[in-house]
Amino acid sequence: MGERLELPQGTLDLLILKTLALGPLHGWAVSERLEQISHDAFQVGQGSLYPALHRLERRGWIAATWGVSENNRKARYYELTRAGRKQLGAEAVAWRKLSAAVGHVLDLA
Amino acid sequence: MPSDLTYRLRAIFRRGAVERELDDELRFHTEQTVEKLMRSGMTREQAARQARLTLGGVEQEKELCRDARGTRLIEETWQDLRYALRGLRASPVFAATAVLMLALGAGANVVAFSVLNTVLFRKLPVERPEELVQVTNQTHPPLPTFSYPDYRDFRDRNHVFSALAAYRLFPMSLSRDGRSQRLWGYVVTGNYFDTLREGAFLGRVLAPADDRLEHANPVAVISYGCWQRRFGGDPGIVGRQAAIGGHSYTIVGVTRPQFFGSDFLFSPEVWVPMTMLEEVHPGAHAWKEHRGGPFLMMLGRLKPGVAISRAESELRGIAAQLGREHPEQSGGMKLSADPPGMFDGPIRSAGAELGAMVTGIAGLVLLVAATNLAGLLLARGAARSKEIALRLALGASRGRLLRQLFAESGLLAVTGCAAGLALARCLIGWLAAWRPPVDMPVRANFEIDVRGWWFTAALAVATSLALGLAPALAAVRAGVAQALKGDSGAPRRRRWPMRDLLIGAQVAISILLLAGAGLVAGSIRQALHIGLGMEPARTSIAAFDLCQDGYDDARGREFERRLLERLRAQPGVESAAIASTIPLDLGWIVGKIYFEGASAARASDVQEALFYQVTPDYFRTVGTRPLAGRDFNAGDRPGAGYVAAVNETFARAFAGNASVIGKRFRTRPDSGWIEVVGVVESGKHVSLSKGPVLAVYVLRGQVYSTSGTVAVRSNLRPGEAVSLIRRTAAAIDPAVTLYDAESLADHLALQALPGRVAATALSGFGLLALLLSATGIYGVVAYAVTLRTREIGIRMAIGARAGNVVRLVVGRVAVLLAAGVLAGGAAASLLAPLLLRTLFGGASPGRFSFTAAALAMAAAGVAACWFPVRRALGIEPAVALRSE
Repeated sequence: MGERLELPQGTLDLLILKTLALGPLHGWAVSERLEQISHDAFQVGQGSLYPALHRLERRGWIAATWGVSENNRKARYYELTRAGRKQLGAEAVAWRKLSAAVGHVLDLA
Repeated sequence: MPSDLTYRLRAIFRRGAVERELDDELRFHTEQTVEKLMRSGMTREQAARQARLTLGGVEQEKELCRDARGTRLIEETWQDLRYALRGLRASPVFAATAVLMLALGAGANVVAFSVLNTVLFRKLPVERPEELVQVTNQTHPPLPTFSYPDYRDFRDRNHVFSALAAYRLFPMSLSRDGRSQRLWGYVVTGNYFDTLREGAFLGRVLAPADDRLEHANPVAVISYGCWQRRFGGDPGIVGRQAAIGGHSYTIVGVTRPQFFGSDFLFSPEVWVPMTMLEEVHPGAHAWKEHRGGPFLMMLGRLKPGVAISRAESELRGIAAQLGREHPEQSGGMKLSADPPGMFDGPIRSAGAELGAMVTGIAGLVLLVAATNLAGLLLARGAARSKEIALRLALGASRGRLLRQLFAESGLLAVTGCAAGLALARCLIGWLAAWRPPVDMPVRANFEIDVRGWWFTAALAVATSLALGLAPALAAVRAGVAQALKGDSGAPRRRRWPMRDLLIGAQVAISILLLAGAGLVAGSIRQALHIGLGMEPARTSIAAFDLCQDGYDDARGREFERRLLERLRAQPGVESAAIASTIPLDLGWIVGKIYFEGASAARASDVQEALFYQVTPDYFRTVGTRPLAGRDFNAGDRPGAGYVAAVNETFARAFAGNASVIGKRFRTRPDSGWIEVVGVVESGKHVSLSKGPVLAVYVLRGQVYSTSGTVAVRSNLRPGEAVSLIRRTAAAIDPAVTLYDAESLADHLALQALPGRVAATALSGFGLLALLLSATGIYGVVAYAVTLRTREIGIRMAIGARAGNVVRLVVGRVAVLLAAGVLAGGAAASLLAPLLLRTLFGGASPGRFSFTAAALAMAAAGVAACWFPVRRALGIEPAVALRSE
C-alpha cells in the first residue's frame, strides 16, 4: 500500500461520478474501483462513501436500483443519471482548471 | 428539484424501508470486505475483526448517511412531537386544562375577529363583488336615501356605472289559504338583479321588462329561505300565485340559497318590481314623482377599470348639478360611494370601534390564558430541570433541547387553537342563526372565512411562542452543575419577576370585566324600573299594519272599534286601548309644536315633540299615571275640536308652573289648534337612557293611520293575554297579521338588548378571566412550593409553624391579588362612564358591583392556593431534605 492521501473537500463526489461513468456499480465495487484506479492512493471508507452516494442520489445525479451481485447477493447498484453525466463533465472541467492553476502557481514559486 | 423532493418524502414517509435498505447495503459492504480479506488468507473470524477495525462504527455511519438524506430536522421534529405527546399523555389533567383554556381564549378571539372581519371586509356573495358600490346620501341620517326622480337622473347622467339600481325595504304580508304572515321584502328597479349579476335558483329573476308599466307587473321573486320555510320547498313554486298585501302576484323565481339581498344586515324574503310600489305601500306611488321625497337606496356596478373614488367625484358633480336645477328639493346633497358593507358610513366606523374593543378584550383574555399556561409549563419545567441539565452535560445541543421544549408548547397551542376554532364555528353558526327579537329581517350574516383561518394560524404560532419562551429559556439557562447538585433555585432572581406582575395584571383585568358586567346589568335593571312612565306588569300588546292586509282608513277604524269592543267584553280584561306606537318602540313620529302665545324667532327655535295617537283608556292600560285634567271621552269625536294630553315635560316647557290645561298649540303655523285636556307623567320614550322628552298624545280617531298596537291590561297570564288578543282579532278577520305580540314587559326589555348582550359578553369574558387568573395563581404558588420544598423543610425542621409556611408560600400572591383588585377597580371606575355612554348613549347611574367582583376574585384566589398550600404544609422535613 502506498501513501494515503486525504481527499480535498468535494473531490470524492467527482471521483464517484467518474467511476460510475463506465457503468452501474454497487457501493463496495465503487470503493474497490477507486482504490485500483488510484493505485491504492485513495482509501475510501464506508464512513464517507455511503453518505456521499446518498447525497448524490438525493441530488438526482445518480440513481439506485437493487440488483444481484457477481456472487449472487442482493446489492444496491448505482448508475449515473443524465443530470449526473452533465455534472461530471462540468466538475471535471472545473477540476482540471483548478489543478492546472494550482500547478502553475507551484511551478512559478 | 422533483427528484430531491421525492427522495426526501420517501425518506420521511417510508422511513422503515429506507432504514432497512441502509442496513442491507452496509451489511453487503462488510461481507464483501470480509470475503476479500479471507481470500488473502485470513480465517473468517480474523477477517471479520479486521473489517470492523477498518470500516469503523456502523451506527456512526448510519447517522452520517441519515444526515446526507437532508431530512434530519423533520425527523427530529417528529421525534420531539412524539416525545411531547407522551409527556402530555402522562399528565392528562394538565393537558386537558391547558387545551381547554387555550380553546376558550382562542375561540373568543376568532369569534371577535370574524365579526370584525365581516363588518369591515366581507363582500356580497355575487359575481365580481368588488365592482359594487353603495351610494349613500348623508344629508338626512339615519336614512341614506334618494328620491326617485333624483335616482333617475343619477342613473342616466353618470358614465361610471354599467348599471345603477334602486330599492327600498317594505314590510309586506303574504297570504296563503286564508292565513297571512308578515314578512319583509324589497321593491326594486328592473335592473336590480342585473346590477348584482345574480341569477335565479329556480325560474327567473326580475328583469327590466318587469319595471315598464305602472301597476301592471304583479310578479315576485322569493328567497330560497322563504321558499323553504313558507312554501315547504314546493318544487312547482314557479308560476304559483300568492297574495302580497291583498294583491295577487305570480311567483316567477327563487334566488340562490347563498344570496341574501344587497345589504348585509337585512335578509329580505321577497322582491317585487318598482312599478308595484303603490300596491305594496298604498300612497307610495306619489313618492315616485316627488323629487323632495327621498326613500330609495342606490347600488351601482362600476364599469371595468373605474375606481370608486372617480365614481364618487362624478356622482358628486351630478348631485351639484341637481342642486342647481332643483335647489328646494335636491340642494345640498352629501353623497358618498362605498363598497357595500355590513354598515355604511358612520355606523360602520362605530361598529368597527366596538368590534376592535371586543377583539381587544378577547386578546387580553387569551394573553391571560397564555401567560398562565406558561406559568404551569414553567412549573413542569422546574421538575424537569435535572433531566435537562443531565442531557446538556451529556452533550445535547441547546438548540435541540429548545426545539424539544417548544414542541410541547407548540403541540398545546395548535391543539388549543384548533379546538378554539371549532368552538368559534359553533358560536358563529349560532350567532348567524340568531334573530334579534325585532320586527325587521335583521340577520348577522357572520362567517369564518380564509382570513379567519389565517388569523387562527397566526394565533397558534404566537401562542406557542408565548407559551414556550419562558420555560425554555429558564430550562436552558439553568447552570448544569447547580441543577445536578439539586439546587434548582433560579440563578437570577428579581424581586418582582415578570410572571408575578402578569398575575397582578390578570387579576386586574378580571376585576375590570366582572365589575363592568355587573355595572351594565345593574344599570339595565334600574333603567327598566325607574322613571319608565309605564307600569307594564299586567299589560300585553300586539302590533298590526292594516294597510298591508288591504284595509283602507274607514275599514281600519271599523276593525279597531270592533276589536276593542270585543276585548273589553272578555272576562279578566280591565281595559284595552290602541296606540299608533308605544313609547320605546323602534319607530316614532316627531312633530313641531307652535304653542299659542309663544313666539319663535327662527324656524330652528321651534320645539319638537313625539306624537302618539291613542284611544281613550290608553293611559290606564299601559299604566301611565295621569297628573291633571281628564282622559279622552266620548265627547271627543272626529269633527269636534282636536284634543290632546301632554306629558309633564311638555307642560313645564310651555307653561312653567302654571296649568297647561285648556292651552292650545298646533303642528304647523297654519294648521288647526289642538287643545290640551290632560297632563300625564313623563317617562322614557326614545331609549332607556335618554332623559325626558316632550310627548303629545292625540286622540286616535281624530287623527288616524292604519298601523298600530293594541294593548290589553288584564289579570291573565301574559301568554293567555297574548293568545286572547290573537283569537279576538282572528274572529273579526283571520286575514289580519299580528306581530310583536308579547307582554309589554318583554317588549320594553328589547330596548335593553344591546346592554344585555354587552353584559352577557362581559360577564362571560370576566368569568373566563377569573378562571384563568385562578389557574395562574395556582401555577405561581405551586411553582413556589416546588422550588422551595427544601427551604420549607428546613424551616419546619427548625420550628416554623403552619402560619409561617403559609405566609412564605402565599405572601407574594396575596400582595399581587390585592394590588390587582385595586388596579382593576380603579380602571373600572374610570371606564364605567365610557362604557355606559357606548351602550346607553348617555351616562346612567348604576350600582357599582366592585365589591362582588372583588369577593369573587378573592374566593377564586383562596381556592387556587388551597392545594399547593396543603402540599407545603404536608412537607416532611426529613423526607424533603433527604430527597435532594
